[in-house]
Amino acid sequence: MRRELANGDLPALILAVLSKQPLHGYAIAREVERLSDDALTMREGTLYPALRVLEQDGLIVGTWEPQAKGAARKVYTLTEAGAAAMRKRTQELNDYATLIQTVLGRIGHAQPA
Amino acid sequence: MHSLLEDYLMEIAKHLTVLPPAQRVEELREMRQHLLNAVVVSQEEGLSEEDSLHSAIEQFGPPAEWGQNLVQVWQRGERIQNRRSFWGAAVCVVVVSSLGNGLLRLLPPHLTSAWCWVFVVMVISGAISGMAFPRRAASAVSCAMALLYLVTLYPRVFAVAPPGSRLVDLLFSSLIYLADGLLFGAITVLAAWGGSRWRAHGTQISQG
Repeated sequence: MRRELANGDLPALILAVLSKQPLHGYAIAREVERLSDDALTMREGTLYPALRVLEQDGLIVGTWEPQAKGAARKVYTLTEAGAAAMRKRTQELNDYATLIQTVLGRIGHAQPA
Repeated sequence: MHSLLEDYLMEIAKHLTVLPPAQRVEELREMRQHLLNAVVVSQEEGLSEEDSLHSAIEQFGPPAEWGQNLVQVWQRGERIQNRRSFWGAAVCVVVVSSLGNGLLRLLPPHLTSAWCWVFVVMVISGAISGMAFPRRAASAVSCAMALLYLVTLYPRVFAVAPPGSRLVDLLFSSLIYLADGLLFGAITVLAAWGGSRWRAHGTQISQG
């Protein structure tokens, strides 16, 4: 089942994708889809504004790189501050997922057989 | 295909008029690259060039939404930059003018007896502040100078007044100090404005 990525989760996923390697905008969108086995889709109208916010906050840096074939591409790289923010956000999301699972698990045990 | 792509980008550009021209060009350049990448991938999957572009544009979203989102983000960036620049410029002028005036006091009196040296310090501090923090430099410097003057120099009106001074004399001295302060402030703000213009001119030249 495909679901659209929530706006609040997008910055964390962008940072996580860029922690592996620098990528340009289109590649970031496709990488998120690939890593989720196409379960998560990204509205491209939200991708570039999210990238701009991350640039403004100093978490990523975008540089135009000439290509051997075709026009130059703007490639984004994670900064040290971005790596720290990514680790923090990843921990928060993991903790949140654990809490939800805990609550759901307890409700499951409380239900009559 | 290219006319359809350019028409779409022109529609987005209509919603980006508040952005500086250089930034607008860069945003559109990146969007064009994204759409061309999407077209190439779709063509590899078997779609025609025209269908690939239609699909890419549909997935990209409405131009108005793009424009609105990018403008909001740009305005956020401007607010952050202006806030940093304002405080940076204000602190810079206070620190440089204080250091400069302190240095004047350390030098032999015969070298710094002319009071025009104080104006030189003010001009230098204003110019440095304007060059280092070109945004909002003038307004920040004027606020900093006003505060500096009120806190440090204005009380001297009462400190240097002879005992038994009449109210009229005090008011007259106040006006003199106020005129001095306005002159100092105006010169420093003008220097800050000049510094910011110099940096903006240098930036335009380097960007070609």
